[in-house]
Amino acid sequence: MPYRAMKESLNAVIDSLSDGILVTDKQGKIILYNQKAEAFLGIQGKAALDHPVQKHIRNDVLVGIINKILKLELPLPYRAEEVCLMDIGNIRLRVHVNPVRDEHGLLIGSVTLLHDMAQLSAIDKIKGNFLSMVSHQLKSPLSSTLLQTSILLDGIVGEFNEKQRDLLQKVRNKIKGMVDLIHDILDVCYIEEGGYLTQIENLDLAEILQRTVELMQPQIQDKNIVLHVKIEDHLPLIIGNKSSVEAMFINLINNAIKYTPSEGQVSVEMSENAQNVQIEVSDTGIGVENEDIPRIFDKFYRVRSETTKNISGTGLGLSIVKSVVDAHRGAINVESKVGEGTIFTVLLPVK
Amino acid sequence: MEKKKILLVDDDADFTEAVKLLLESRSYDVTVANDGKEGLKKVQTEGPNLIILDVMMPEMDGYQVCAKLKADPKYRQIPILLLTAVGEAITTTSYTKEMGMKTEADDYIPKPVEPVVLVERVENILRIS
Repeated sequence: MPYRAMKESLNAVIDSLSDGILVTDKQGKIILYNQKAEAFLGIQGKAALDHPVQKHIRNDVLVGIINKILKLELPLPYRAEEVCLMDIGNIRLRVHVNPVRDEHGLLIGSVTLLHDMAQLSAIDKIKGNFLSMVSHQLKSPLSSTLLQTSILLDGIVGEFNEKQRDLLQKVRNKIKGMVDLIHDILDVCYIEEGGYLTQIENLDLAEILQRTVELMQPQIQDKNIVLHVKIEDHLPLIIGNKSSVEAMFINLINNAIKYTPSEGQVSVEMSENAQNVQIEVSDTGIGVENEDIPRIFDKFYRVRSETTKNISGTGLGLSIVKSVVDAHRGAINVESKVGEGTIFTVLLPVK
Repeated sequence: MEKKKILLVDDDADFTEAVKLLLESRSYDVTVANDGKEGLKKVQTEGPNLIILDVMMPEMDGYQVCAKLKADPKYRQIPILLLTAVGEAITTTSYTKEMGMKTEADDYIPKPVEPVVLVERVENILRIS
């Protein structure tokens, strides 16, 4: 195909995309964009071609992000992508900006993808409704059954012998496990479907952690665990989704309690580390074998051994933690010694 | 002392039976309504001290019943305890609580509920009112 024909058909292709696309060279000069980008950014036809981004794009945040990507230093990070939500006019856009690299990995420009959220929000809504329907349909009967077993165990309608009580207690525990599983599945869906993106605010992690710890007192007291909490003063705020960060704390601490024998110790320390808030959750629990560490964040993965067979769980707790950390562009690290304990270290960037 | 009257509105008969057994064992007088409309009727005939209201019910849901009662000067002072299995898990804190407050319910408990918790909340709410 001759060069001109190829270029025309390529232009036709990118003009047919439902997302906006905008490409700059290394100096920030616009070298390519499609019709959707014209519409989203309010550019008149091809007027912006060969001009610097700031001349035709009225949105300072977007210009800032593109310039930030163009100033990336070598070696380029593996994931340099910047993602953000932006309201341009009355359209809500999800914006992805990536560096363009040549075959040697050198930075030669930037590419911006503009995605209209309206469609996505509609789908999210349907999915959200569907999920809450499912959760209701499953949870309502389970709630009734759970209450029925509680009342039987409570002796309100008569006493049972020991064996009957024991069996009933097992039934009850199974039902409880199923309810926990439904909650965890809903958490995973919420985070992975990007639910966190719609509600982002400044978060005071110290406050969230303290509240979580209060919520968890029953589990802590049940096992006679000694919990130490140490929070550095004046921690910076982070930007994130409150309920998913809460879920992260709950699952990290729950996990520590679960795998620590009675009378053991769990400690949570929070401090500032470079441009991050560092959260360290350590326990004096049973620890994780080295070979299991790479898999503990997998969904439904549970370490199977003599020591863990009596510990109940859904196998989703740590995968929820990982999803939340990823969603906040943080990092998580695990150190463990079998028989001595485990330390989870989470870094959440301050922005 | 006269027994306090509780009106329990929920379409799940197994659930209402269990809650009734539980609360009666704690010396409350419990009347059951199986849907929102019946609930509104029984508020008038029974004059309860407390209404325990499920959110998800066919035809008229708990939010609607709650809004109706709170808009009526004759009944607005009756405390309402919302029970819900909707929007659980992560969204609990924002969604359910917010909905509870929007409808001016006096308290809310997520399902499944522990008997101890339910009894404690019922006692609390009746003590305050």
